[in-house]
Amino acid sequence: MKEAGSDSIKAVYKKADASGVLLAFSLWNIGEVLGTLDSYMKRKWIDEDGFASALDSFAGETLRLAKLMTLEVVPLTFDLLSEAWKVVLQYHVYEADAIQIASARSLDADIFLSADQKLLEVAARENMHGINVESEEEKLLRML
Amino acid sequence: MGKVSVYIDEELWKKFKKMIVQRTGDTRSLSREVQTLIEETIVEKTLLDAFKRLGLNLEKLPSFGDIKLVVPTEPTSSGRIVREMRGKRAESISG
Repeated sequence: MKEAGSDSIKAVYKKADASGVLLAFSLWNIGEVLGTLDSYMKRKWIDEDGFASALDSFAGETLRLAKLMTLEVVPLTFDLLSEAWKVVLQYHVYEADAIQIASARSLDADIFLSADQKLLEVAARENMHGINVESEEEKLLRML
Repeated sequence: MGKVSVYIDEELWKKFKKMIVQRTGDTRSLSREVQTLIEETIVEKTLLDAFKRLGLNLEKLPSFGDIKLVVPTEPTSSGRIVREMRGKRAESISG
């Protein structure tokens, strides 16, 4: 999707494609991608063809990078969810946000990418190096 | 399909076997249950099956250069949409 932050994400995926970084996101996020694309279509920001194309590309790219082992989809295990519950209580965030923090922590991630400033603040309090993909694109590109 | 040996805490294994017998009536599906747990950890195969169930076209996985960005009719931010979705969910939980 060509939108705010998409150049940053494209650069990160390009780097992963060349095995330059290991990408990871939570299994939870796949449902949010579906929900976001569905929301775009309902609002008529994309048509059915755009929806199908974006979804096929996302799924295909996810599977291809997973096969190359440059993308890890973090499963929602009991251990991970129980770590997320601690984050919920500690930072008073909703579980979906807490899952992002717990997933990144479980992998000891070097960089935490998000477009959500509130979530990035929580990541910073967890001593993670957070980057806002929408407003800190240049910083991210310099790091890659 | 191959036979593998692993070391597992005995008590834990007994409990697991008991749980499977309670659920299925016998121990024949034990290997399949262990395999499912492993697949859910590795995710790749489970994800492929899940995407296929959604009816997605996965005959050929795209190379990086094949990906064409879809351009919405309005300037969009998926970060904002995700925030909205999470916010709605939190509101519905708190009543």
